[in-house]
Amino acid sequence: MTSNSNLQTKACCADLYQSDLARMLLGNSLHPGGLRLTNRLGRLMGLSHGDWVVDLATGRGASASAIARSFHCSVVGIEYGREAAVEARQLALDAPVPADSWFIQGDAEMPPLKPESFDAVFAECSLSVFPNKELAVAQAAALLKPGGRLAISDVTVEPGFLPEELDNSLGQLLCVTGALGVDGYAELLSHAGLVNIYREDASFHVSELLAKIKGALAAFSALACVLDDQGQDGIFGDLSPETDWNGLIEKLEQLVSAGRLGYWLYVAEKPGNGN
Amino acid sequence: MEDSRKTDGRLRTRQDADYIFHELTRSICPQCKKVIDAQVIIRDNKVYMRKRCPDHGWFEGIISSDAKMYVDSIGFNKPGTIPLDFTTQVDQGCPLDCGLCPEHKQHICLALIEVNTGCNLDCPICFADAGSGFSLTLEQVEGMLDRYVDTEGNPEVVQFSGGEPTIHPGLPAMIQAAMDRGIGQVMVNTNGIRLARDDRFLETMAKLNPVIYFQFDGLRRETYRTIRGEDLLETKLLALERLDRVGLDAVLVAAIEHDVNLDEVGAILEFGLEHPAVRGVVLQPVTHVGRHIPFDPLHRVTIPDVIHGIVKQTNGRFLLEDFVPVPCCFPTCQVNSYVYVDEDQVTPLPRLLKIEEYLDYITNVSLPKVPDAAQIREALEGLWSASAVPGTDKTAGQFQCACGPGLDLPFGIDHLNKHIFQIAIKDFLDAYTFNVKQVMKCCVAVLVPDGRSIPFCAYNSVGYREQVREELTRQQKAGQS
Repeated sequence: MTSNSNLQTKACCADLYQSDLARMLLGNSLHPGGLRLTNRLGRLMGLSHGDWVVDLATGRGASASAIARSFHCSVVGIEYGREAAVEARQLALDAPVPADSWFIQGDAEMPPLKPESFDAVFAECSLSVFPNKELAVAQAAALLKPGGRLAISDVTVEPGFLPEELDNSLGQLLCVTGALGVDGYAELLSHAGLVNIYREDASFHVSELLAKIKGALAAFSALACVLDDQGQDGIFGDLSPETDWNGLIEKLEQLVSAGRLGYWLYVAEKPGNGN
Repeated sequence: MEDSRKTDGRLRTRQDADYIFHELTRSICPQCKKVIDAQVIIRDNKVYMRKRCPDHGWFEGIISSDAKMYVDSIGFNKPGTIPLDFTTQVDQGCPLDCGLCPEHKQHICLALIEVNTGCNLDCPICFADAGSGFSLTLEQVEGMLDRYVDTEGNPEVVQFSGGEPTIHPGLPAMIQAAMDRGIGQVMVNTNGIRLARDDRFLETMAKLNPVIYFQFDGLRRETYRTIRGEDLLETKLLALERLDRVGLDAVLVAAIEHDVNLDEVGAILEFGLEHPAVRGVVLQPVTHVGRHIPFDPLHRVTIPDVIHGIVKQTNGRFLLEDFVPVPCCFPTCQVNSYVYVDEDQVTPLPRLLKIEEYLDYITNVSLPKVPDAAQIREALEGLWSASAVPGTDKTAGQFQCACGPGLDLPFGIDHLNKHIFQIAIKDFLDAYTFNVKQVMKCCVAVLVPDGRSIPFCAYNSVGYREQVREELTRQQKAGQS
């Protein structure tokens, strides 16, 4: 993926995420499970008071600030998009309850931070869209102090099970086209030399999300037409209004219950804790 | 042989009782709080609880002024959802092992955190008996929220209460802490005085954007003098105007008492429907726990009194059928209605959809034969739940789904948020109406710093409130010395 198409994806994402529907479905944290799963990830990383933490592809920084406040940590959020990074900074400044969170523009594959200086690094629903996942994980691992933890939460699609309706720009937006299988992420962590790899199935949150979408669709079978009327037809990518949404969602639900599509959390440790 | 029909001058003809024996349950003695057997009986189409304490004798109180409504609601009893973790063990039996103990029949839909006992009012009616006591630290609240996440997995709603939570300087950080844990729906239960007077506080609340659970007992000055001890009408109206100015949503919460404001329920509802900041009303018959004015247990307000009051006082805008029992808790505890408001048009959701076909769990074994019946039921369960918070995207989405087929709604969650209005009537238990059966399925709980979550009516009636308050006050004093 070129950086140009990467930016296009981000711009298109922003449009999608600003729609009423997306806000209703995802909330402000823009990944399945929202801050509930962010909090779970923080717990699994075993964060404690005073830890230094990096959030890769932090977006508008909602998770970084929530982690900073909930676990009394210092969090540095890295965001590829300059505008998003500026916005994250501004949101943090305007926050009614301050968080020890800091935002920098940068590439997660070349993080502009000092190696071996962080207690934890996390990437929420972002590794799946990174073009070079091995490099991103290696760089993240390099940031960790010995004994530090790397955590990932992401969409999983078992190889060969991506529905053809999603092998397009919509699938890209939903983070499914670049997603790995459940074992794929664990292997990435292992290849980066990390140990004590823990994984947890959070696919319930995908089912929840699909049920919500289905509910909205039940009421709005003519959803795409209405969106067209509002001049937002670009949001649903190359899907025509005639797309069988219910059929697609049912297919996705079946994939979730068969374990082919999901959302998983991973935590791994950098060896060599001197203690 | 006339003599054989009489013994000592008494007629030997069998007499019918003047009541129907409905059930036997357990309750508590209003004087010593001991757990005792209780009979639920129906007399003159009204439901009463009758019980005897070996030390304090017989007690009787009304629990519903409409027996048909009471009995009909039983079918709405939904199978409970079991929490992920329990905090106490079964030992003495309900309601003395709270909580939650493994015998509890439902998870928590709505958790309350009482952040302090202090208040900037001194109301003659206050179930929390606000006054001196404790003030929680942020650390304590964070611990309670973390425990709530442990037991619920995906907790739905937290309501900060007191005392008066807005006079706790740590409230904004506590609200943020709840939101940071992904508890999307955070409410602040307040008398509104600080919102009416403090610009900076109002601005902070506007940024955090909790739903304001706003005490609003009526539109008459006398109502406030009786219930709150002073005329607060102007303050209330000013606070609501300021909430609207900064875009905060409010739910009006009224404590309803006979001969005080039962004749105002229609006016409160109409006022709420017209006020731009108001997304719903909650009408609560006064609970005779904590501080209350003298009352006759045979003459207390019950849910049907409020429903009949609304129907009578709103000139045909609402019907009895617009109010449907809530299935997640015990269905005699709460009824809800939702209306879609557009200009002068008020359309109650139960007119668009036969709700009982979806939410009657006992008599209806199968769902209606319409496409998406399962989704509609799910959406209705979300709306008819103690965790439904009006003014939130989630509630708007559920309304949209539930009524989609019957009502041509303009698209847009923001639009729906401003046009859906919730009416809830909630009857909390006191020592005269306390029914273990209801407490066992209660889904509203008070979180305690030691990790327990105690069903709200047990907390208020059985003695937990007093114990927790004493312990937290003692701890705070010990920490200060």
